[in-house]
Amino acid sequence: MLLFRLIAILFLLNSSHSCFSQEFKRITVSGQLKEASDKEYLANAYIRIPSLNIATVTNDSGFYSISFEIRDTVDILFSQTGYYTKKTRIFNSQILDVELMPDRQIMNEIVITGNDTLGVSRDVQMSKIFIPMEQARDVPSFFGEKDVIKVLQLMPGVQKGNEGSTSLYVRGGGPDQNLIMLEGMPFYNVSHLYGFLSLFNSDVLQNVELTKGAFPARYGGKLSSVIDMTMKQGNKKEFHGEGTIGLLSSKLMLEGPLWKDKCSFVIAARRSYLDIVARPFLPDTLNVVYYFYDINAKVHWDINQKNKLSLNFFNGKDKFRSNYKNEEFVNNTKLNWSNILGNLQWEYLISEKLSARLSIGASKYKLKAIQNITEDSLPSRSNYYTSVKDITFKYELEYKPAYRHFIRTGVQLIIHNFEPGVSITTDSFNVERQDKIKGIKPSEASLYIEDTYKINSRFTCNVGGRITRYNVRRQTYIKPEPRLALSYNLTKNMAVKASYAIMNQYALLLSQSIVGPPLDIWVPSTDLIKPQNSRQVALGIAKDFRNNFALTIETYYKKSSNLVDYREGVTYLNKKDIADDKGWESLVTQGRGWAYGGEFLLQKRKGKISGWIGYTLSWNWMQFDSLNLGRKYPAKYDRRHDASVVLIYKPKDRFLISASWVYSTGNAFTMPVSVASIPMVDPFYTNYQHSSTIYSTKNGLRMPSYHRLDLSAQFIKQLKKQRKRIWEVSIYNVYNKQNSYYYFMEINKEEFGSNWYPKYKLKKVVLLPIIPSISYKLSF
Amino acid sequence: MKAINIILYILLIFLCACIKDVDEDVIPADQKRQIIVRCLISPQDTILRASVLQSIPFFNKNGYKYNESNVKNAKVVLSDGISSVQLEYKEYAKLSNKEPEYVCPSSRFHIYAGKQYYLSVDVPGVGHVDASTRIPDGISGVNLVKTDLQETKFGMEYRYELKQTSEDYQYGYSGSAVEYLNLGYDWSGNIVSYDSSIFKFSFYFFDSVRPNGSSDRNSENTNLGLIYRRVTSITIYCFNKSISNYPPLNKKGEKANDPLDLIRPPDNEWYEPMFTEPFYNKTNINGGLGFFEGYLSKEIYNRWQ
Repeated sequence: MLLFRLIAILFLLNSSHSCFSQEFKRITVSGQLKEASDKEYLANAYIRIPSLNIATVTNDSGFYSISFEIRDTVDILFSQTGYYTKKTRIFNSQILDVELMPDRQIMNEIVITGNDTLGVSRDVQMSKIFIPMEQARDVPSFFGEKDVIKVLQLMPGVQKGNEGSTSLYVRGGGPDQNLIMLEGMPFYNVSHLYGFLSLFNSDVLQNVELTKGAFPARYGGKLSSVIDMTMKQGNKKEFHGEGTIGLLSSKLMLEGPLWKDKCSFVIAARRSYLDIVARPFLPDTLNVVYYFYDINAKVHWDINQKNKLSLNFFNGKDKFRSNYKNEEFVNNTKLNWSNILGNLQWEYLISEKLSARLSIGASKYKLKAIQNITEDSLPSRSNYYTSVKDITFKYELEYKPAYRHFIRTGVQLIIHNFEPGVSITTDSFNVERQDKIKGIKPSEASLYIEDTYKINSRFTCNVGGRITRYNVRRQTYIKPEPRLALSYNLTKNMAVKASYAIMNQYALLLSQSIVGPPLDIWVPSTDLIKPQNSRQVALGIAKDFRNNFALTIETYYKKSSNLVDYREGVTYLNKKDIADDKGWESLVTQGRGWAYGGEFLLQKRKGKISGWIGYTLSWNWMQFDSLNLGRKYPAKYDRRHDASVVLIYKPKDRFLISASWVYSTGNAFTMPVSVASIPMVDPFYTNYQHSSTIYSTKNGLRMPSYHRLDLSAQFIKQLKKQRKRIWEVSIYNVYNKQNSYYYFMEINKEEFGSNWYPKYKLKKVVLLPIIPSISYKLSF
Repeated sequence: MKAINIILYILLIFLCACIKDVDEDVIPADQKRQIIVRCLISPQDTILRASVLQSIPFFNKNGYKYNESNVKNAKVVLSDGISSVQLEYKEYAKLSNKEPEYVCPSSRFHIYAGKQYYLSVDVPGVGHVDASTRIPDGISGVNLVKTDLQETKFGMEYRYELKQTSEDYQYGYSGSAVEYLNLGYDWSGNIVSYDSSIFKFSFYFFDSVRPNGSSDRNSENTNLGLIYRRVTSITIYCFNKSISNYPPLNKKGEKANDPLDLIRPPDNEWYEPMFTEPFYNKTNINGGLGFFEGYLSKEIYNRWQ
């Protein structure tokens, strides 16, 4: 009811305003913003009319539309970070395509900012971070591999998983609760190299936008965050490329016109060469091969002024193979996991106020492991397979009836196909046994509508809702999700903001708590496993200062229900452990979680010295009736304090130095702390006991705090024929902090045997010590 | 699941490369010992018994011997809210193979069906735990519904069929039977010789008994209630429902994999596997582990021919 009342009030406010504007002429200006050099569309560019104090931004296709009332003429300013601002005077409705010239000086100076084009105090949406890729590339990186996911981990409210991991834990949510999209294609697994690198090749990414809360209604299906990435469209005028040689991998990106000014392509490929480097060091009896590759491709075609078509494709694969052989024993092992995604998007400008987008896509994630063993000439074979396939249809409309309103609506249908696990074993007598967890094919249909409504010069809201119908087996879930974001400008450069959002999630991840990807298994909500749900409320202030400083302070409270985890003691979905009359759901349990905290972000956007300071104070609790004896416990990545400092110093065009320092409270973890003889229920035998390990309370122990300093220096040289080369030297973990990755107990062999119980030593795994690296990049 | 093990091995190898000694206090040095109590009381018992043990922390006093887990100096008090009795520590001869326990003749403190009882245990230097239980009202929920003869290799044998008719309590049974040992076969597979002895067969719960007679996978025996041996006596036990929380009912479905079966590195250096989730024993002992429960029992005798 509150929501309806609010909408009614907003409507009345709007009506009353219109009463006073009869004498003005109403006009609409729309069009597209492109980069002047390569004709790429500029998303999130800022269109502003200072005399009327109104503004809008371009959508992902660079399209804008702004309606307003004037008596005479007005000046419109078109601006985008890193480009010269363009001013045009208009006096009537028209279609106005604008090309912006890049300002190389600015491009070279800026760093990651919040929504830099709009100013943090001007955007109605809170809890949003916008990352232009030119800026992400300046931040120090692991092995010199530019990874946008790891840059996101440096932002407040976003925490990493284990060291080096690309997992994102946003405001207490798990890595499965992030909707990670590339050109609208949702990813289930985003990791290479057992989670140490993400799938996303920074060379082809154009923009990255992270939403931690206040989710607009157009996003749904995940609880905690939305990471919306767009790829470059490719240069429509001339061919260009980039090649990078690093210690871990090398990559090549090419872009250019297929049809000048009309159709462009971009293609990028990356491959690691750990296998080639390691080969000379392996013994003759052992042959180990590990590598990953990924390919991104896009073709973008401006059919005419009103129609655009784009075809996007991604394929990434990790391959591990080992062959061990001696006289009596042969062991051949293969492990592959891969993502393949593609979609076709058609954008149609129906009128100057209305545009549509149709998207059809498909994706497949699979994990496959094969082992062939020959022992004493008797062969046996073991095969494991799990996969998720999706087919997605989406139709969206954007309508700008007046400058005060920006309405978006759309429908989406996803047809899922989950194969939680198939294990086929063939023994030495050639007898095959198949343990298959039956596949499930649910469907997820959604309808949404949202309006960004500028009530007056100070007060803006984004109000909307999403409703989802989820069908699985004979069960149907219909879930409404109201969304609301409010922004009130106290001054021109300062705003208070509030938001509320309900989210539901139907694809669930059963996560192996230590290993994580690729051993995590995706399963659907079913009639027995309810969809996950979250409700988040946030409150904050945003202020833009002079000298390109911006400050945001936010607090949030998030409550989640029906979270999913393995039952106590269960490690993996194993068909053998599932009763004949029960499904895999019998190995899974559901519970609730709640997270709250505050986030602080101070940014310096431009200048020779730029960067940011981020700090998060948070609490993250969970409670499952059948875990930890039903008591609440801290989530694994409950970190009271999490801070990051990033500094980028660019004294001149040819040199850049950057540093990042991170600090966080240590991970919560569980360890066996003692051993005991636990009596068993048998009134007959009073001595009936079993030796049992006694664990600490779940996540009741803490690792020491984590901190690390990374440095990077780039040496840039402009070569002839528009070519540029960059040598980058970086050092990961400069002061070699031995951060713990995992603890375990090791039997002290020297003292074992004299007592019933052996003595133990506590050991830890330190994964990433100081790592220097160097890379070479050539742009042409 | 072999394939999954492979993945885990790969990661293990990867991780083992960076093992360091721990120089920080991750696990508090004063890790507390926990008191573990086993106490089942019944009006039918002639001696009231309680076992008191303690957990042995890994990191503050390593190298405990097994018998150090038994607590000798506990103060164990059983009470009905009005009167109480202290159980005395008793050790048995080594040859008896019985663990020490705290005992009291039931003549000094009577246990009655349907009544509430309280247990208090104090262990100097370790702490205090307590618990309460209610003795079931009656044991009418299990009936011997069928007894017949069945021909086996050993000749005619009695077969008993027990049915649980009430869901108010958790029932179990145990019994005595003739066991056949050292079986000798001829070339045709016929038994030509054997030795026999009386044995007491294990205690089972009736958790599988359903109206349709199907069995539950959580049971040890898929034919609960059907006994094919030459049974000399059957004892039926009646517990509160909470009894099913404690071992041995926490089995297959709860703990799917034996952790050491899942990951057993080549040199077996790792005691606790890296990749298993913790497992917690349920208890009704406040501040400790184990259980304090009341029960009723009745015995059915068979005059074996």
